Amino acid sequence: MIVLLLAALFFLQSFLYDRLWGKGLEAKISFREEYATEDDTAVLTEVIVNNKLLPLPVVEIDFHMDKGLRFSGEANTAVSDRSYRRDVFALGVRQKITRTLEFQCARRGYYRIDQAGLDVRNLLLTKKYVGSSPQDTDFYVLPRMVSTQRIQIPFSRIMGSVLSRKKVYDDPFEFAGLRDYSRGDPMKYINWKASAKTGDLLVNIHESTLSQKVAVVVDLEGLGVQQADVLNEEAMRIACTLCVRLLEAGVQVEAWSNGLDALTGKPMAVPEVSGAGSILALRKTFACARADNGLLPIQSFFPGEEGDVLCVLVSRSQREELARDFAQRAGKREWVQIVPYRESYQELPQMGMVQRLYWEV
Amino acid sequence: MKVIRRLGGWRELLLRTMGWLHCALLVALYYGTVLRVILGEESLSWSLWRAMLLVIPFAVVDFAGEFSRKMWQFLAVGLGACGLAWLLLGYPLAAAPVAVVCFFRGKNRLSEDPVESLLDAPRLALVLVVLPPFLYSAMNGGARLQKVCFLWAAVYLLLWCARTGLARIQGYLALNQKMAGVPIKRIVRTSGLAVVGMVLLAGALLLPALLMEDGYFHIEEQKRQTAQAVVEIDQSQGSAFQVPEWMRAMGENAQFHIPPFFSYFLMAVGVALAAMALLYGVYLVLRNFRNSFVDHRDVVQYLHGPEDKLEAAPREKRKRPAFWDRSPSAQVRRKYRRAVLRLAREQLPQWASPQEIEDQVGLRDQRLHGLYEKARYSREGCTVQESRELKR
Repeated sequence: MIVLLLAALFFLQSFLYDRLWGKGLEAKISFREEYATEDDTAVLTEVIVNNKLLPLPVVEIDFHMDKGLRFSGEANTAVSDRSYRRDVFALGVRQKITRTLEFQCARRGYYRIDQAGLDVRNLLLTKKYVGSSPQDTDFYVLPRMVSTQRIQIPFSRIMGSVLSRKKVYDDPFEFAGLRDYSRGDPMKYINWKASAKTGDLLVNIHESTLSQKVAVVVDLEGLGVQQADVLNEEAMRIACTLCVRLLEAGVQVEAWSNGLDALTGKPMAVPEVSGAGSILALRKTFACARADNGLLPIQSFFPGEEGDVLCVLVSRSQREELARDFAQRAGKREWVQIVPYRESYQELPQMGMVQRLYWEV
Repeated sequence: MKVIRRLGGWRELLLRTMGWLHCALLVALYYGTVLRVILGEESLSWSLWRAMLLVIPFAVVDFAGEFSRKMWQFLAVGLGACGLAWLLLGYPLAAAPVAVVCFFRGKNRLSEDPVESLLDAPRLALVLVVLPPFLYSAMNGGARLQKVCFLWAAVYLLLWCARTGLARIQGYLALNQKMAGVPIKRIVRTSGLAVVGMVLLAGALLLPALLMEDGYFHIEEQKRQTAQAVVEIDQSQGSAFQVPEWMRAMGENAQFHIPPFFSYFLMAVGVALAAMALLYGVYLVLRNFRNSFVDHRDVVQYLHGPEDKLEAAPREKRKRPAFWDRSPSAQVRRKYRRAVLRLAREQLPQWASPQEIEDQVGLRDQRLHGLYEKARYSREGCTVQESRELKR
């Protein structure tokens, strides 16, 4: 009788866990920040809640994501094609545990966790229950900005081209200040209210508008070969830094790449942005672009032959064919080609008005 | 501490200790039985306790297997352990089980992959070793030996349960020992306490019952014409409880008697309920004292109940209060309804708000309006004072 009672107790425990193990159990994985820059350290938070009167001595949480994020203390992480992580928790009755995991942003990219697996054991660790919990957290690793000193050379060349051809129009909506009237000033610029207050004639000064637009085109063809990976990443850094500097200088920017956007699955495209407020969105778009093999040829992303766009091509490719296509599309426009290289480069002949810069990585 | 660490921690040491106890229990049962056969019933209890001393030579051999650097050192210690066993039990044959254990330990020392033998840990099947002494006791009238057999089986089962439970925990932790951030202490505390609790409960239920039990299975061979063995089962049930006189007087003439196993079952249920109540009391006490704490990288917080839950939306209060509802809110609502119906000349639309209804029927009582809205829509409802104020 007693033995039966004890057996009943054991099976009752087992039955209770069979029925209730998942009740009130929640797992939430979230990145603490929305984004970070390459080589920065960020934090991932795991929150597990057991809101019931049954303790869960072992709760294993596993999830996977792209391997560009490196957790400090790789003990719980298996890295193969992706990064697989498993953590163990012990939850008492009605308990909530928050664990923070530091990781290093080793590689630019867009990282997302959609699902977490749950492995729960019963009180005596005799049974294992498997489940999953949907997650919704993402993280951008923005491309690192290249040093100001190095980017200054291509940036100055681009700005030189921009300024040499800029058309200055007074923008009546951009008020810059007041100055004394001088002979020849149009009458419509006289600020009558200010003149009445001071007793002297004063005219409005307006900001000028840059009509020049810069298109940055990045070639991300090639994946799997170490040299290609390194050069493609550097190309993204150069392009991103240039865009940021141009936006800060008040130039309109558009960016194109044959690399596929991780969010849309289409080639990366930033149609037209201006102002410093667009910098973060632009950097996030650059974070999402993925290098791959067999992408569309970069030539299809060059701007059209008409228009006054200044195009900057950033490509590791040292093929003459590409340089010729670029020069042909540029025509008489002063376009810029930046060629990142690792050990050596082959000087290509001067073609048209294209300025070529070699960037050692 | 260094020794414990080298053995794999206190949990590993506990498992080993259970292994030694298992060996000692096996030897003790047969040692006691043999002495019972040779010396008689009186020798049984002291011989059993004395045989349990064999735990010491078993432990010595185990430690020697781990710590001796050379084989000859191990053999020397093993020889010494055999001598110690002889000394402790007083018979040269007592060295035999220690020698067997020595043999397996030595074999494991030499082999690259140690193999767990039957002498390392208790096995469920080994409970059956109790059968020969039990049958002997049943056939030769050894009531005391039979009781010892039952007790031995119960203790061995408990040891097996405890060892299996702890080994399972240790196995999981060993499997994940390279993982970072495993909350070892909390896992051991939760599952270990569950194992210990179950073993203690089983012990508390089994051992007193066996100690109090006076039943005796006797197999007697009767010489009859058919020369068949007849099995008689004498089971004189000695009750542990003093039955009151009035109950005895009442029961003497009655045909019905409460079966002893049922009363014991009731007692067990009572004990279990009391234990649960005690545990719940401890839980309530602990709940009031516990706070959030940090365990390595984990921030552990307790969910305190209602304040951690999402605020429940108030129930829809559209129906009129029930007839038996005498709450202040219900009274206010009834008063309002009566006031409206008294003034209404036609059917009022159900969708109308109180203000619309009042405008329609021409009710101008701001106090009643306010209290009605409070009674119908607020979470706390009206108070008794408010209801009384309205009646005046």
